[in-house]
Amino acid sequence: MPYSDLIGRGLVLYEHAVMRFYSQEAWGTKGPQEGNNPEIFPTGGGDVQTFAPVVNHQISEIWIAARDFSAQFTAATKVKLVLRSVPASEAWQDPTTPATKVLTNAVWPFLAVSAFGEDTGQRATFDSGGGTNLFHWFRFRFDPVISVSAGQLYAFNFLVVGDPTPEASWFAAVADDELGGSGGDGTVYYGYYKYNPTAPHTDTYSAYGPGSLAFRVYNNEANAHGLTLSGLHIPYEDTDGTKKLHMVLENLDPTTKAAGADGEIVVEIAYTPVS
Amino acid sequence: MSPSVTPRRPSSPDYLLVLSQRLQVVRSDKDTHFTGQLTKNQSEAEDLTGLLSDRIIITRITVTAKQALYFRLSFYTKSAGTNADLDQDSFVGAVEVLL
Repeated sequence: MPYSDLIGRGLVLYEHAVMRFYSQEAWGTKGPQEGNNPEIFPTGGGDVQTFAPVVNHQISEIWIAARDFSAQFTAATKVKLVLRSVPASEAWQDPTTPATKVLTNAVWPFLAVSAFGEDTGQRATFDSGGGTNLFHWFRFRFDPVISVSAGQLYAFNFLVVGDPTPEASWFAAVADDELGGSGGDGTVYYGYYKYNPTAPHTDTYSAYGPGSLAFRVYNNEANAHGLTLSGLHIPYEDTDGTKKLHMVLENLDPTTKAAGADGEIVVEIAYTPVS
Repeated sequence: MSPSVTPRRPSSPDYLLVLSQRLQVVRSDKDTHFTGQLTKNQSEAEDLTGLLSDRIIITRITVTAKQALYFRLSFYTKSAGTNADLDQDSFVGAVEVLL
């Protein structure tokens, strides 16, 4: 069944979802990212090794929260973000080494990505250890989206470019603590991004398709994976007259679906009867 | 003695008719449905019983699984609906889920 036919039938397979990751565990439960850490980062935490997606996906948006380099912010005119990746088979390296693949290396005007500015609402709960707690949100949007393969490790390098200083400091968003690239004078605390899981049929399909569906990934129990497609409208009729839903499950994955308990799967179909 | 009758107020209806749309759900069983081993592109068919009508509109599909795999769910209007003769094939729709 060609994917274009599915679209023609009003079926859109995926809409974007939001993925969050931790870059500093110390923030713990205080941050707005609290909740189930989706399966794409299986183990969570601040170790760079955890930033390995388990499925192919596309990144359409990255959000970064940063603090304590207010001096750079004051003078900043631009913000630079570099997203680098390495294959999973390679040991993690400094993301600035040539071995990494630069997925994007772009400079945005400061105001264009800092429209959210200082998030004063986070001051009270953010880092009881003191400090100025200047807390800025940055949003980077990618159009077209960036494709990232499963198994890749990747890092976000975030740079505030001040004026007149051409490049004030680099801040990596993947280390545990003291992330400042030049003496720890700033910290990028965490970020999250919107992504679009990709599949063979969706590789060329933008995450910004008709938004009639909701897509949700969760991992609320060990070994439980779930996905909900809502907003569907698939007329169906059992022409056998047996009031049965005739359904076929096909495994499109290179990995074999196991038999028995190890391969358990439950499909729930919500419907509206038509008289 | 005749039972007393309390007259209804003119504004009180005999009953209230409340329009509601109840979400109906049919669900596969983890122990009896889709239990076989499926290598890539292999499929398994099931007939889920219990629809309230032969004609329905599917509005939501939820899949939970032990394995995070890439599946396609296809719907057919007949049992064993696949047929090499496309005029006889009863395919009506499909979704794909990447867990």
